Amino acid sequence: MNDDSTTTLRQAAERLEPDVDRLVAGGTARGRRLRRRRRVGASLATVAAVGIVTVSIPLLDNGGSGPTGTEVASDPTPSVSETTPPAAPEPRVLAVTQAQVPDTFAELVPGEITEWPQKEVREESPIVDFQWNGFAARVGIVPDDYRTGEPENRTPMEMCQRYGQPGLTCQVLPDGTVAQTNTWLTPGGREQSWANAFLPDGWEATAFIHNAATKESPALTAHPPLTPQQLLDVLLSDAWFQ
Amino acid sequence: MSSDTRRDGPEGFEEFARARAAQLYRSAWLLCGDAHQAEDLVQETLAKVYARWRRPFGGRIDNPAAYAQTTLTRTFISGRRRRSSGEVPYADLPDSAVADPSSGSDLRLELRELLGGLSETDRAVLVLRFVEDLSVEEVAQQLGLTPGAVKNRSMRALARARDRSTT
Repeated sequence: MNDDSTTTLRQAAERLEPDVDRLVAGGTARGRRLRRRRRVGASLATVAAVGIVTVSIPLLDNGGSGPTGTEVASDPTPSVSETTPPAAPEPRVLAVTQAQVPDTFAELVPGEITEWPQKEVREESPIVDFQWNGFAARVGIVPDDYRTGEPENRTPMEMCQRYGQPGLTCQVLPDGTVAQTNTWLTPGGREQSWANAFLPDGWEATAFIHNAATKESPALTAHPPLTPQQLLDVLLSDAWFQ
Repeated sequence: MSSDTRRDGPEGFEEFARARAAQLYRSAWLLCGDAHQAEDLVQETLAKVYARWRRPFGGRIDNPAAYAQTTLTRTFISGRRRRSSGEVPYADLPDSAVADPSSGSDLRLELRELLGGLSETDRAVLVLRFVEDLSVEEVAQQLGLTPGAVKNRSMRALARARDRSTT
């Protein structure tokens, strides 16, 4: 360590005497506005998502753990919102590290996280496999440059149309999110609930959960423990972002 | 502040913010190199902490001080990336109309020599390691890097600072 450099940095820091009152007042006021915006956004998204089931496939499943069987749509009556999406907001900052993804999931849908394998750490695009109450699950949150390495600069609908399953409905929510949900049957009586959301600020979030401990193991229950709609609600939570 | 004794309401947040604001500002100023930007960064950070202070589903921030520091660092890096990928703070520090602790002093020049031209992440590594006194592992966690990357960036940034100060 260069002692002179350390000394210079510390001397600079010691001389700083900020206006604490102004910092706290400004931060609190901005925090209140931020919380109000999130409440409004979450309410609109939840209202729009109720009762809608669409058909699609996992988009973040290039790891090979996705379903290969027959799709099941319990109520395949897609509905397209007429709401005009707002202008694209600035991308938010992730509030969770890769290691915190399972626990955050369990905060949103209370359950026990029993296992998750260590994988390559990619804090800016966490995709995490774990077990929730003994069922295999995955949550992925990736930025819009995840696929190509370059910013897509596309709307959520354009992203869904480009990267979603052809012929399946992309559901527009009032806050501009474009979501897809589905239940899949896979060989061996396994079933998977799945949800995917292209968020207005460019992030893409995916979650799925099997009715088995792993994608290859026998089914533990007739159906997955969470519905696609529950997974979508999880993905739309503000808990993932600052 | 212990999470066990922390108050969850608005009063608890204000108590926390008052206790941490000065330290957050010091980090912010060193990262941004500008009083106005530092104040904006701290307020944005406190706003994000406020928004999560009482979360639905019963969740709460276990370590608010660490969370705020991480938020500040990530907001700084993310904000810089959004504004301009080619922007290099400190390369041309603007004159500030507000009280700037280093204005008119050799310290300002020394800081420019030390931090000028470094990337956002490298500056964050130096501030977190040598001002906040965080461990390599803690810095790695905050920045989403491996410990090895933190060590490499730290050595590289210091070597660069040394070169600049001797030329």
